[in-house]
Amino acid sequence: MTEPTARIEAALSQIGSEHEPPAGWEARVLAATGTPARRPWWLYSSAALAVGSAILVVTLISDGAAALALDLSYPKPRDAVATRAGEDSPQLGGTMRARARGGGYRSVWVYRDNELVVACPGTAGACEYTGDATIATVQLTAIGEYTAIALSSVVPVPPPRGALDTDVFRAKAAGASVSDARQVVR
Amino acid sequence: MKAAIRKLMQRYGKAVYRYCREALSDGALADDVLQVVFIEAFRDLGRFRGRSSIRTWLFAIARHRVLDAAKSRRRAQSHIEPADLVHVVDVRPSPGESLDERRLVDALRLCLGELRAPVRAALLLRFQQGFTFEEMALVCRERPGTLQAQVSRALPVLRACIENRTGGTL
Repeated sequence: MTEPTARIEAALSQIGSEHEPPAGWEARVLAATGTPARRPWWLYSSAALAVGSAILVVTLISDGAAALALDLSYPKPRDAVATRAGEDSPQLGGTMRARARGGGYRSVWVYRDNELVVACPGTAGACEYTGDATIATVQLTAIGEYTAIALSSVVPVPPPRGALDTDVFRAKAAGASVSDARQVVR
Repeated sequence: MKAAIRKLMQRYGKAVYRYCREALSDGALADDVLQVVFIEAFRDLGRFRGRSSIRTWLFAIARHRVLDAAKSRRRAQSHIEPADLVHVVDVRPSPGESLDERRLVDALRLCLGELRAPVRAALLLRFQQGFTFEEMALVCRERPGTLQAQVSRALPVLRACIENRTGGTL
């Protein structure tokens, strides 16, 4: 083995050793998995008080908002010729509508094979908002698994970055409720 | 399960983070991927059958998530002007000065970034994490010989790149 190569290998073995994971990452993982972080016993009484206050605030803010619900539909163009049964099934070249109802601040994100294709709010021309629903419309231009994610939270969630797992994790870490539905288009 | 995931985070969190950070060259993205790795590990821990070590299993998850993140980022960056992506780092030593470790590591990082993501992953698993080629085969689902050849081919490429960036002083 030559000396320069040995230097490179040694540098590789040390690379990044100065970096530590971000503070609080373990607690965020446990929060996202529904596992509470271990705390000293004396924190429980103040935690209970905080939870009680939070429930009151959420109740006041949500003003009785219904639970989050998500449904998918596949509308046909008006001039389409009905060929057979299954009008409400997804077809390549067709359209999928993901409608989220209920909740507080609502968002709908749609991914194809785990990559973001539409975000509402966010994607121009693809989002509709009614009094109780947010609707994302997606053109099914490619085969793949389409995953619709509905989110609801008492504060706006961080905008999606583009990867399903990471975006959902970040939203959950921010306190959002999440509902999902999947559809394979062949 | 709770105790298990806590122990895994304590024992392997830093190593997984180091790997993610160097593989992605992005601290914020590495933060996200680190957390996704352990959330996925928590979800799948019940299905772990012990056919490999827990460390190998964790790094297999990490490698997949890093490759996914790199792919998503590449797509997002394709919409950014190339000029926005240029990072100017002066890694050349002054005349008469030998290449110190700091400059070597800076050049190494730049050169790692020029390799394909799977090759970069193989180098980090082998040297940063100290996996054997047999363990790497389980992480990467490749044959040990294939990975060994990949690493052997990559080292001279890295050396040439570092020498080019540092003026041949390695």
